[in-house]
Amino acid sequence: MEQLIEYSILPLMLFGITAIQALGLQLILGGAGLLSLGHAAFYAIGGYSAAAFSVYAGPALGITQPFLLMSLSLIAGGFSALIAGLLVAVPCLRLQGDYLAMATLGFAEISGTALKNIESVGGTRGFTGIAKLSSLAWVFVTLGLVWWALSRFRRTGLGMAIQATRDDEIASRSLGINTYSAKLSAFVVGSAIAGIAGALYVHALQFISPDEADFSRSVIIVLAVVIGGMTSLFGSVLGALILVAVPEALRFAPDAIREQRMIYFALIVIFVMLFSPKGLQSLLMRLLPRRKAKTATARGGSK
Amino acid sequence: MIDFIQYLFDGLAVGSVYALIALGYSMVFGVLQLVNFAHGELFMVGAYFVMYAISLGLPWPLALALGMCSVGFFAVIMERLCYKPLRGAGKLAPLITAVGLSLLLQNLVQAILGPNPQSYPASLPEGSFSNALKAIFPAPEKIQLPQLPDGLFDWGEIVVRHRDLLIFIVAVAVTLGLELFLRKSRPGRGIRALALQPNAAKLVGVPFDFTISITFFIGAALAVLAGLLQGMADNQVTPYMGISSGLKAFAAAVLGGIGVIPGALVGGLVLGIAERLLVGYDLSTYKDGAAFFILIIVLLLRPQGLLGKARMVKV
Amino acid sequence: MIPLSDRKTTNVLLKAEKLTIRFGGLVAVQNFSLSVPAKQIVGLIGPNGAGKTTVFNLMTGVYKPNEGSVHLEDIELTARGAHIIARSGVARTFQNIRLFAGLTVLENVVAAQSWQRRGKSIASLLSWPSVVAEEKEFLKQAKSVLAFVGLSDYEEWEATSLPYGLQRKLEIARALMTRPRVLLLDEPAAGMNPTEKDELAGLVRKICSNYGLGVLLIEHDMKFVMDLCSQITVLDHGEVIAVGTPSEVQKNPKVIEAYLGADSLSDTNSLDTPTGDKLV
Repeated sequence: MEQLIEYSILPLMLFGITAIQALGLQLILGGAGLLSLGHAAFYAIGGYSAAAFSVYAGPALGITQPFLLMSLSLIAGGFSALIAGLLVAVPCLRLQGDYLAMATLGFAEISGTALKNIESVGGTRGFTGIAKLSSLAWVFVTLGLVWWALSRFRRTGLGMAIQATRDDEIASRSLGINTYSAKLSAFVVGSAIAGIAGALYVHALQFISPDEADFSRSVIIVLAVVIGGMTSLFGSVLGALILVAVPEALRFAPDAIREQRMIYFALIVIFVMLFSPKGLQSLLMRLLPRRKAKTATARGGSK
Repeated sequence: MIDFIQYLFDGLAVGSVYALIALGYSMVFGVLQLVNFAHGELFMVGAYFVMYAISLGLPWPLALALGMCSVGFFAVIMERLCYKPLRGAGKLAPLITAVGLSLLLQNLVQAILGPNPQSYPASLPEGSFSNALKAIFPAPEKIQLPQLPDGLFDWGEIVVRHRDLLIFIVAVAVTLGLELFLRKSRPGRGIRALALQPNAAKLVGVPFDFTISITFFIGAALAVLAGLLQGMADNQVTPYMGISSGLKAFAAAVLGGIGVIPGALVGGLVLGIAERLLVGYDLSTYKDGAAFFILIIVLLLRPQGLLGKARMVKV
Repeated sequence: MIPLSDRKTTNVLLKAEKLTIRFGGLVAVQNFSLSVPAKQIVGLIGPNGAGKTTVFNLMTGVYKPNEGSVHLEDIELTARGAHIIARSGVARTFQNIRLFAGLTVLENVVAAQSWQRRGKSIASLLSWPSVVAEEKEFLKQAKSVLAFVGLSDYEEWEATSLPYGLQRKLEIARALMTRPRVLLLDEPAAGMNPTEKDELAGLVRKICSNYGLGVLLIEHDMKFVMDLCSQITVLDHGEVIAVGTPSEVQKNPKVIEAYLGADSLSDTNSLDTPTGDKLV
C-alpha cells in the first residue's frame, strides 16, 4: 500500500503541474480566443529559468533554504516566461488569428533550437542536477491559487474586456475596449502561468530537456484543453487529467492500443470540434442535475 | 560570390517543392481565410501513395495521376466532413480541427506504415491488403523506378544538376498553368471571384461548395506532385515529412503573399535558397529555424508578403 | 408626428467634414459632411450600397478617411483608433447585431464599461474595498440601463438567446453604458414589426431627451425615419444629395430619383429583401 502511494506521488504532481499549464492556456485559448501553438515553449522557458536560478543564481546569492529557493525559482520561472510572452505577443498580436497560430509555432521551434545550443543548461542532453524542491503541497497549493485567481479574474474589468474581445473584437472596440492590450494581457499572463508550471516541473523531475519546448507538446496541450473544454477552468483541468491519466492507464494495455493512442486522441478532438465544441466537460455537465441554464427555464415563460 | 550563385541554383529544387505545396495553402487561404494545417499531411500521404504505386509496378505518370486523384478526392471529403460544418463557427474551430486532422494523418500513417523512412522500391507491410494489391499488380521483374536525370550543366565554376533545373521548370510551369486556369477557365474564375469578393460571387451564381471543393482538390493534387518530386529527389519518405515541409511551405506562402499564386513560387524559391545558403555558409543548425524566422519577420514587417496587397477588412 | 426636437439647442456635438475614402480604385464616400446636434435625432438615408455604413465606420474609427475630418465638439477624432473614439464619447450599434455570445445580457452591458474601471485587476482579485465598491456601482449602473430599455427581466439570459427585437435593444443598452455624447444607430429597426418599431422610436426619443445626447440613425424604413428625425441627410453613391427636414427631403426630386421608382417616400417603404439580407 505504501508503495502504491509512493508510486502515485509523481504522477499526481505531474497532473497538478499539467493542470496549471492547462489553466494558463485556458486564459489564452478559451478566455481570449487566441490559438497559441507555443505554450509548451513558455513552459520550458519557465522551467529552464527556474532551474538556472536554483542551480546557479540561488547558491551564488547564498540562498539555500528550500522554501525560499523554491519560491524565488518559481518567480524566476514565471517572470522569464512572462517576458518571453511579451516578446512574442507584442509584434504578433497585431496579426489575424491564423497568423498568430503560425507565429507562435515558429517561436516555439526557435526557442527549442536556442535551448539546445545553450551549453550551460545542458544543451541537447538537457539540464540535470536540479534539486528536488517541488512537492505535492507546492504543486497543489499553486494550482489552487491559480485557479482561484483566474476565476476571480473573469469578473474584473480586464477579464471581461478579454472575453468581450474574444466574442467580438469589432464590437469591443466600439465600446472603448483596447482589444490589443486585452489580448496581450491574456497571452502574457497565460504564458507566465505556463512558466510557473514549468518551474514546478523541473524541481519535481530534477531534469528538463529542450524537447519540452517542442511544438508537438504545444499541440498536445492545446488539444487536451479543447477536449476537456476550453471555455471553462474545470474543462481545462479535465483536459490535463485526460492527458496525464490516459498514458498511465494505458501502461497496462496491449502495445497496439498504446501506439494508436494519438490516433484516438486526434479523432476525439475532431469529434469534439464538430459535435461538442465546449468539450467533454459540457457533456459531463449535462449528466449532472444542476440548475439548468436560465435560458431554458426563462425562455419557457415568455414570448 | 561564385559560391553564392552556386547556392542559388542548389536551392532551386527544394524551393520548388516548397512552392508546389505553398500553392495549396495559398489557394485555400484565398477562398476560405483558413490555414489548412492538414495540407502538409496531404503532401506526405501523396508521397507515400506514389511511392507504393510505383513500387507495385505502375509507370510513374499513372501513379502520379492516380495519386493526385485519390488524395485530391480525399481532400475534398475532408473538407466536406470537417471544415464545412464549421463554417460560421468562428476562426478558431476550423483551425483546431485542422490541427487535429494533421495529427490524425501523421499517426495513422505511422501506425500503418511504420515510423521509419522508406525508399524506392518500397514494400507495403505484411497483411491482407498488401497481398491483395500484390495479386492485382504482380511486380514486374524490373520495376520502372522513376529516374530524375543525372546530368550536370558545367558552367565554369558553377555546376547545376539537371534534376534541379527540371524540378524548377516543373514548378514554374505548374504556377503558370494554375494562373492561366484561374484566369481563363470557368471554375478558375469562380475561385478567384470567391477569393476577392465572396458576397458578390455568391450573388452572381458562383457555386460556393463546388468551388471550394475544386480548390481543395487542386491544392492537394499539387501537393502530391510535390510529394513525388521530393520522394524521387531524396529517395525517402517519412511520416514526418508533412510537418516539416508543410510548415516551411506555409512560411513560403506567407513570404510570397498568401492568396497570391506567383507569390507561392517566389516565396518557395526564396526559402529554398535561403536554406541552402545557410548550409553553404556553415550555419546548417539554423536551417530548420530559417523558415520560421522568415515567417515572423515577414509577419511583422510586411504581413501581406512580397507580392501581396495590403487588404482592408470590410466591417 | 413631429419629434420633440428643441430647435433652440443647436449645440453641435459630432461634426464630420468632407470625409472621403477610397478602396482601391473605388471612391466609396466622397466629400461627406454632416452635423449631429445635442438632443436631436438626425437621419442618414439612401439606397442600398450608398455608403451609409461606410460613413459610420469613418466616424467611429473603423476606417481611416483619405480626406476630411471628424470632430466631437473640439476633440479631433479623425484617424484615431476606434476604441479611443468610443472612449471620447461616440457609441454605435451595428447593422448585423454584434453581441457577446459567450456572455449573459447583464454581462454584455457590464463588459461595456470594463475599460472604465480605475481599480487595477490585482486589487480586484483581492477584493480591495474601493474596488469592490466600484464594481458594485458599475453593476448598479448596468442594471439601471437595462431597466431603462426594458430588459430587466432578461438579465441572466444568454445574450444570443433573446428574441431578435430584444437583442437590438440590448445592443443599444450596451452602447449607452459607455456614457456617449453621440449615439450612432445602424438600422436599429431592421427586421422589426410595426409595434416593435413604435416601441423603438419611443425608446430613441427617451434616450435623446434623458441623456441629452445626439443620435445619428441609418434606416431604410421611411416612415420610421421621417417621424423620428428632425433633420435628414440623403446619401447616394457615396455623396450627399440632399439635406433638410423630413418634408423638405421627401419632396426633393433628386432624392426621389435616387430611390428609382419608390412611389412615395411617406409610405412605409422598406428596401429589405424578404429574408432580411441586405443586397451588397
